[in-house]
Amino acid sequence: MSRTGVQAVARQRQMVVFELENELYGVDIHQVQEIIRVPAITHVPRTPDFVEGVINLRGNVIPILDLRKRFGFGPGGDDNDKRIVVVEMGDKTLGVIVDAVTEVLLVDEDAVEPPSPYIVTVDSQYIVGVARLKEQLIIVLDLNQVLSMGERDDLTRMEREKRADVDL
Amino acid sequence: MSTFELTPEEMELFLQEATEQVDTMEELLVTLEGGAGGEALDAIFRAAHTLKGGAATAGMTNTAELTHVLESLLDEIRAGERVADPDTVDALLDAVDWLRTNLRTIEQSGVESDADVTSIIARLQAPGADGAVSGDAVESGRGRDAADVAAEGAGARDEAAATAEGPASEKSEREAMAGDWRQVAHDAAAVGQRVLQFDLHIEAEAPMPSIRLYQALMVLAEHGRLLLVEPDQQEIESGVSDHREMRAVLVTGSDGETVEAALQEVSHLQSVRWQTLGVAEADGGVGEGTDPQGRVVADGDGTLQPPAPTEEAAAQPAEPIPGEGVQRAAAPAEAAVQRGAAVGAPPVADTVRVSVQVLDRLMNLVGELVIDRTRLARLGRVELPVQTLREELSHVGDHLSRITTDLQDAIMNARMVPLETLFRRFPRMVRDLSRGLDKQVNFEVVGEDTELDRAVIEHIGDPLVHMIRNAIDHGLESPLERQRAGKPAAGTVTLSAHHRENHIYIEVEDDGRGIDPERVKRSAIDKGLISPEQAAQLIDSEALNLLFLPGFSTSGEVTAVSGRGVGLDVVRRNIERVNGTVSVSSDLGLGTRWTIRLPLTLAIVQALLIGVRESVFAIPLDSVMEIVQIESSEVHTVSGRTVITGREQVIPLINPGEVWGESFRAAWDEEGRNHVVILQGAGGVLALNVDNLIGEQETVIKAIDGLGGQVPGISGASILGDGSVALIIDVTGFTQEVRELGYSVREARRRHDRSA
Repeated sequence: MSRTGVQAVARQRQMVVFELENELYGVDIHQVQEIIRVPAITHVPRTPDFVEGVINLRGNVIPILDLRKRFGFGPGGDDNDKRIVVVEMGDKTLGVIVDAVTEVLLVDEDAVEPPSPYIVTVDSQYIVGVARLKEQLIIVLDLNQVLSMGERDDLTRMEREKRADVDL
Repeated sequence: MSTFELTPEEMELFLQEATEQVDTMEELLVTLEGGAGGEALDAIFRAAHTLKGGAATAGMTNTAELTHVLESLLDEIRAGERVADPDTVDALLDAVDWLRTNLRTIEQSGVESDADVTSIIARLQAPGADGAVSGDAVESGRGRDAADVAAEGAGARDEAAATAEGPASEKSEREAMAGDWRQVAHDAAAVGQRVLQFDLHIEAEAPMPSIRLYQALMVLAEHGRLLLVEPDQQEIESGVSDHREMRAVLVTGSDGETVEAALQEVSHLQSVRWQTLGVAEADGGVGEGTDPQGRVVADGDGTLQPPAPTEEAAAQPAEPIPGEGVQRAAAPAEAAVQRGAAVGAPPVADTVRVSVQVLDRLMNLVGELVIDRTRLARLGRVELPVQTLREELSHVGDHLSRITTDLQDAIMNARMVPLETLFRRFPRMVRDLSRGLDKQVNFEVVGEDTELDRAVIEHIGDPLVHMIRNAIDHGLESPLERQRAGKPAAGTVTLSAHHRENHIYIEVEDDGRGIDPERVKRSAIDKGLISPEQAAQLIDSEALNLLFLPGFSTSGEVTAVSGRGVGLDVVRRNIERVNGTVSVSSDLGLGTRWTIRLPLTLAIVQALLIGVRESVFAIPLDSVMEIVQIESSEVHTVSGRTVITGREQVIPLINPGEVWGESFRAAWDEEGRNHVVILQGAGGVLALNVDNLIGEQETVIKAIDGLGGQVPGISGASILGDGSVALIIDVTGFTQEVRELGYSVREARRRHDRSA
């Protein structure tokens, strides 16, 4: 193999592309364990509203987050198209619900640009960059960032609010 | 040497059942001293009788005789002719030990052991005399009992006689090997194997010297390969020879001291001498000119006969048996302390009993798998529109994944063993220890029906042994010291198991002297484990955790019981290997508590399933006191909080919605009756309003990871039959939440029987 060939491969990455609120998002395939249909979800009390609940994934109970709610979008999307992207974060496994999973793409690193606040509707802290592919724009997410940030804080704040409600 | 008329399957069954009988006997014998009466005695008697019958049928005459004598002794106790004093129980326990060791011997070699059986029987017949019984008494006793047993166990004797012929047929092979032993010894020594020569002498007064020699020979054979036995092994085995000395050359992996120690269990042995044969000695002749090691009591003029290698020499491969010697050295016939200390981790049986129900479930699931296979195969053969095919495949896939999940659960379920299998051995250990250390111990066991994966149980055996030993040896004071401190003379050691939130807790607690954190700090500084500055910053609980540092041992003196080199750091490592943690807390002067915390992912709980809205919750059944139907007229309001009266007390009535939010609010029918579950957790009693009652189910508890924190009142999740997830209510945590809502939750006034 020629040297340039090696470099070309090294500068590409595989991305799982999914749809959310009519925009395309991509996550590095290494973060994704699998993609499943949405099964019956068991709701868990006193969790933030973006936590849909838990499901049984081959004997493991994993939490499911709704990415729409996480990003502050209203309800939407066709339930039949919805999928759960199962991601591994350290020793934890969890799933995120997305509107639809479109494809797996090979993207040149060069095609990923830093995020521009004008074209993106999601908080930029989760965003690695934007990939331009022909006509399409794909927002490249760091799922670890999306799912780990402030989760614990949210949960405890939630509890405090609930408690406050009841005490009134 | 002999083979019994048992198929391997029958043998396995015999061994399994015999092991259970022995376990039962041991467990109940320990209770005899504590004053357990007729029922325990009857149960021991039954176990002994069953064992005797089995052994006699299997042709295991020693076992049968021993159990027969044991039975007679039990009979005397039952008839009130004899008291179950500590000496008697000691003798009975020795017999049980012998039986257990013997079962292991049978399992390994297919032959029962002859070692020491006469002295055990003698002790049973005169407990307390401890070997002072004359040989004649032993013999007459054996004779009588043997006759009885022969009458009971059909053909046992005949078989034993038949087996005695075994070696004769191998004689020619043996003779063919004669003369070669020096060469073999030379070769073995040349490649660095240990070649030991033993010279044994039997006491002049001892009856049946050939039996003693035979026992010694068996011990030697267990340690390696016999190259030479003089006089001829066959002559010894025949039992008619009058030889009182024996020379044996052994190729072994054990060292001389170990084998010598093992030989101590052969009674009436006057002297044992041994020496290591090097290449030269093996070449030049036996033992001339080398310095004998070991003890010399009397010098015998051995009548050396032409060397004859034994059948073992011909039959066995050259490898010595490593580790065998160590195991032997730890065998019985030691003082109580050593015996107690020598009890390693009580072995967990390597078989698991599985209920027929579980087997049926596995069978059903496998049946389902076969159906899926057929469906898949069919899909490959028939012409179907793509859409239909896809749907079919997706159905089969879903079904398959559910079946395999169920299979996994069922298998995990089958692996679960109640902690009782481990705990049941401890009373015996505690008894031996306390007797050896002259301490009085009340040993209490709580929660032994808690289930754990057997793999986990195996890993916590050693740590628990260590902790219990520690509690008795270091934790408890002497009776005198205790009385001076105003405590009852008898100390209490409690071994308990329970599951709470996401974990199984196993605790060893004593009411002894406690651990002084300052002393621990000083000791750690002295050993250079921490600096004085670091020590000054430690709070007491942190100081106690220094105990788990490698190289730490609090006791100034090393005793036979606890100071055996294995430190608490090893305990901690063992427990961490199964993702557990261990901690210690102590109140100076009041006691110490060791806590092992194990992850719950493998644990199982019997649960009541209830429905609230579309959610299903599982409530651990041991927290459920009662299920009642309540009408609005039965509900009262006390300072703004709803209560019901029941169980002779006022119980707060909670709607899950109050704790968990509106989407978990159960309906309340003002006109009709409502389902209410009365729960009792560590925090008190409360009544929970639910929508419906679904049923009971054995549940595998799974941790919920990744939610970023503990959900209040939820301890984990469990997977239901349809593959969906039910949350498990942590009653203690839930009660805590309810209390924070302003309800007054009280402990139950008294203990109530659980009823449904």
